[in-house]
Amino acid sequence: MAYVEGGRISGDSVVKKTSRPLTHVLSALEKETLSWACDAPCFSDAENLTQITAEADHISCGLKLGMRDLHSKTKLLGNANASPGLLILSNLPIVENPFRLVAIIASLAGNIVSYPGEGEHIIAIKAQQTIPGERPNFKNAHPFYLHTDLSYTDKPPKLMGLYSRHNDAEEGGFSVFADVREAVKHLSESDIEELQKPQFLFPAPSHFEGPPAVIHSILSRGPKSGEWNVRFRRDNLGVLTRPGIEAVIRFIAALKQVSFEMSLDPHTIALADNRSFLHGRTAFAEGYKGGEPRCLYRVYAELR
Amino acid sequence: MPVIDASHPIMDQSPCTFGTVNHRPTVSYYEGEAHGISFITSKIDNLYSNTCTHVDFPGHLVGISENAKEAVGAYPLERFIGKVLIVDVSKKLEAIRPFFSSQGVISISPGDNTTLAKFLASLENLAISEEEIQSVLASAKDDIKGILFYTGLSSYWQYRPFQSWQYIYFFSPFLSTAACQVLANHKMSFVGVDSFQLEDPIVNFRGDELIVVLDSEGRRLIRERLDMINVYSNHHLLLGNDILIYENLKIPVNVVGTQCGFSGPPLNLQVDGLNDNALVRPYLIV
Repeated sequence: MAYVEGGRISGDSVVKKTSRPLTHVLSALEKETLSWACDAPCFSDAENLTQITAEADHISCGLKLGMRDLHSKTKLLGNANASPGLLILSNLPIVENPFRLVAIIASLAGNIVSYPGEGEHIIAIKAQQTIPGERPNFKNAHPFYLHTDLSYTDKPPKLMGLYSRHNDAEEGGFSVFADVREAVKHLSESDIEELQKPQFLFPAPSHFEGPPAVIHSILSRGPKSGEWNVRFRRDNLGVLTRPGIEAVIRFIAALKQVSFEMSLDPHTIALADNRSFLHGRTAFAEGYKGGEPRCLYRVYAELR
Repeated sequence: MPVIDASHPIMDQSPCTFGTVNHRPTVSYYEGEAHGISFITSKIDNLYSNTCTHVDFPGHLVGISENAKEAVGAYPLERFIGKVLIVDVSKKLEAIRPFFSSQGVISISPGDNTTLAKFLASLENLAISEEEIQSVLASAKDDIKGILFYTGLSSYWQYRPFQSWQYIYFFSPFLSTAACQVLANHKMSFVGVDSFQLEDPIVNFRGDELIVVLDSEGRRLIRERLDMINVYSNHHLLLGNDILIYENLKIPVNVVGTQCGFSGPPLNLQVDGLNDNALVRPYLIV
């Protein structure tokens, strides 16, 4: 695995891997504009997230004209044939209300969605209690292997955004990414065939209020683009056949070849195409240095 | 003829393991299908083939198909029955005990990279050498079917999950590559251990755990060793040479250093593809 040691994404990419994520460092004007937008009077005083996302969607329509460069990059994520798969935005303004910032940026890329049983439109990822044997999730500090979000639903979201609010690289918590389109190049035809069969059981985590599990393929072709899409979560994955589990093991080895790690510095947001990019994290030491504990915000959107 | 149960019982609780899969068996009851007499029968769900005491077969790994039979029940009974030598390797644990509490929990704090480096280096002292194995084989009085390694770690067996890097039960003495080859040349039928597995305990790490994540040098070292071990692991070398592996045995200290009878066959499961591992209730005849 290409590994970043103390790497940062802020203008100069120090990521050493086969393909680089698309990055955008906000210009001073974009930063100021976003900051103003977060304080815009059209935002109601209410903290209701449904309302915030609706208001943010309205604001972003206006911003798209003023921030063409930023908007065009976010739009690329929805490009069926040439999506970069991952966009890292850095130099974001420091705002009082992170929900507004996240909602505005996600609305530049698509329509924010929430899933029944999966919490609000935008949730805080912050460790509360870490219990041995528990599946990794947004409330603990376990390492979370490369995965796509909501693999246990019939229609996972197309876009996953992760905004870093407090994140000290010296406490761990490095983000890990992998492009499935690169990983597939390391697989045999027979493994690709196995991974396209609907023989993989994705059990839902205990907090999910929907059905307990779904059975799906891991790999599929995008209906419009023909590009490789992925649905994957390694922990508790069940497979109905022996060739299927063998293909999973080789898929994991392929992911290792193409994955890369980075520290999502505070005031950076990663927007990932949840169909082609897997994401994960290392463990992190909660409040080890006595500072603000790690806190990211997660949002889902349907790409336009 | 004293018989010693060498297994940990399967309970209505998680076995001593790591990972996120729920290994707790669940039981449901059914009326037996007969008339005139009322029978009860039970079904156990969520019972994994490596819950508690079990034996690993070549099918446990990907890519070692040459020696793998289609199902665990296809192996002849003679593979699992015969004389064994019980070898004491417990003293090797002295190299790593300073890094664990008396309850067996690792006592290295995240960020204590100096101690972590010493700990990672100490794991190499758990290796059982080629010379030690040759000496063991030379001491055998009769033809032995297998060697059981006594580590003493079964005293740490608990019915709960842990993090893999956290608990001493998962840090067992293991066979060096050369030692595995000696056993392969000797055409040993099986080996066994009274701990989680006979494997280089570096495999308890992936490189992203809490205890190592703050040490970039430690992470690099772990990843390097894992890359090397990929095809030279004990599991690859033993199972690849058709030597079966018993894990999570319970061996009392009073049989250490002796030679005795052993029996540990799996159930006669002949379902094609069911050749990875199997539950067993092995026992020693002293």
